[in-house]
Amino acid sequence: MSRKIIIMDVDNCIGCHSCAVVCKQENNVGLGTFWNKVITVGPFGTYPDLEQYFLPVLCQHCDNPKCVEACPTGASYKREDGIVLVDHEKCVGCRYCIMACPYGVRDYSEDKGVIEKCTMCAHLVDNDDVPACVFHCPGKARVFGDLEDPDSAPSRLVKKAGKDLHYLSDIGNKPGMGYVLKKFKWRE
Amino acid sequence: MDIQWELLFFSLFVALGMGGFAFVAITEVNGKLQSIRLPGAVSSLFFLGLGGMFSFFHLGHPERIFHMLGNMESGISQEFLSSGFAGSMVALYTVLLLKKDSSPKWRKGIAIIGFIAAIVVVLSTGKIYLQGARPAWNTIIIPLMYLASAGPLGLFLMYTWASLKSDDLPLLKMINKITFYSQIAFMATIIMYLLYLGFAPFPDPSRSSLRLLTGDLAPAFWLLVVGIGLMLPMGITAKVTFSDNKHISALLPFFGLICTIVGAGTIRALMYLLGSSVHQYITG
Repeated sequence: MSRKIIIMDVDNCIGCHSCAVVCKQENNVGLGTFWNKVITVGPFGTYPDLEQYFLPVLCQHCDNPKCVEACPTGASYKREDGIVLVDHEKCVGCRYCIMACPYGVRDYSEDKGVIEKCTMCAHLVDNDDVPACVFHCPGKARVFGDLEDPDSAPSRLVKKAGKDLHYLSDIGNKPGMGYVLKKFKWRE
Repeated sequence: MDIQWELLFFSLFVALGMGGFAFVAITEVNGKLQSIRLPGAVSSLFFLGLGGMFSFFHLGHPERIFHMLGNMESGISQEFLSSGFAGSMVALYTVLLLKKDSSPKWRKGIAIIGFIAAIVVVLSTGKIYLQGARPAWNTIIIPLMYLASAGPLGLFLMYTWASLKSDDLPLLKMINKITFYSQIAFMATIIMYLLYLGFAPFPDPSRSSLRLLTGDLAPAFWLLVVGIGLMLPMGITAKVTFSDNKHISALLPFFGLICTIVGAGTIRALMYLLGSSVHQYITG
C-alpha cells in the first residue's frame, strides 16, 4: 500500500503562481479555469505587525472523498495509492461532485461536458515522476511522495512540523494534503 | 453557487406533478371527484416528464444517463430511480383509468403505491442537497420544504381542475381549505429554514439569513417568495372561504397556482445562491 500526497511547506511559498501556470501547461487546462491556484491569506494585524502568507489550493485527494460518495456513476474514484481521479468515459456531467466538494476545486468543462480537477499528475506519477507543480516550484514549497513510507520526504516533513501541520476544514472528508505553517497563525 | 436552472425546474415540476398525483390518489381511495382523476393524472405525468426533461438536458452527457445507476449510495442515483418508479406508477394508473373495464381494486392499489412514490421522489429531490460541503443546504429542512411546496403546488393544480369539472361547492370549499393549510405548512418550513441559516456551521455572509432578509437577496425573498408566493395565494384561498358566491371561478385557483410556482421557484433559486461551499478556492 502507498499513499501518494503533496505536503505544502507554506513557509517556503513565495506566491509566484508558477504551480498554477505549469499545471495549466502540463494538463492543458482550459482558458479561465484552474486546477491549482495560490490564494493570498491576509494581511492581518496592525502595521507594523502584519501577517500574510500564500496558500496553494487544489484537490485535497481526501482520505474519505465526498465527491466519490456523491458521484452517481462511479466516474469519480479513489485509486489504491490515494489519488482521486475522474473517469471521463463514465462521467455524465451532472456536477453533483462539485456540490459535494467543500473546497470548490472541481470544474465543469463546457467543451467536454465532464468534470475536471487536479489529477496529482497521475500520468507522471505512474512513470515514477513527480507532479509538475512539485517539480517546478522555485521555493521548494511542495513535497511529494508516499506518506506510508516513513523515510519519504513528506513523511519526514510531517514529522518535523508537529503541531505546525495544518489541514483545510474537515467535514468528514479527511483532506489528504497537509500544510506546514510555522511563521504565522494558520487561518486558511 | 450559481442558480442551476435546469435542476430548479426539475424539482419544481416534480413537486407540482407529484403533489397533484398525491391528491388524485386520495380521490381514488375515498371515491370522490372522479371527474378530475384522468386530467389530474395526465397533468401530473406531464409535469413529471417536463421536470425530467430539464434534468436530462442538465447533463453534460445525456446519452450516458443510465450510468447514473452506477452508485446507488449517491443521492442522484436514488433520485433517478425513484423518479422513474413514480413516473411508471402514474403512467400505469393513467392507463388503468383509460381502460373502461379496469379493476377498481388495482386502480386503488396503484394509486396508493403512487402516493407513497410521489412523497419519496419529492423528498429525494431535496435530499440530494444535504451536503456537508454546503453549510446552507445541509439540513433535513430542505427536503421537508420541497415536500411542503408540493402541497400547495399540487393542490392548486387539482383545485383548478376541480373548479372546472365540478359544481360541488362544499367539496370545492374543502379543497380550498386544505390548500390554505398546505400553504401554512409551506410557510412554516421556510421559517424553519431561515432559523436554520442562523445556526448553520461555517458561518459566512454569503449564506447568512441576513443576506436573505435584508441583503441583496431580500427583494426577491420579500416580493417573490413572501408577497407573490405565499401572501397572494393565501389571500385567494381566504377570499374563497369567506365569499358567499355559489360558483368558484377556475381562474382563482389557477392564479394561485401561478403565484405558488413563482414562490416555490424563487425559494429554490435563493437556496442555490446561498449554497456556497465551505471554501470557494477556485470555483463556486
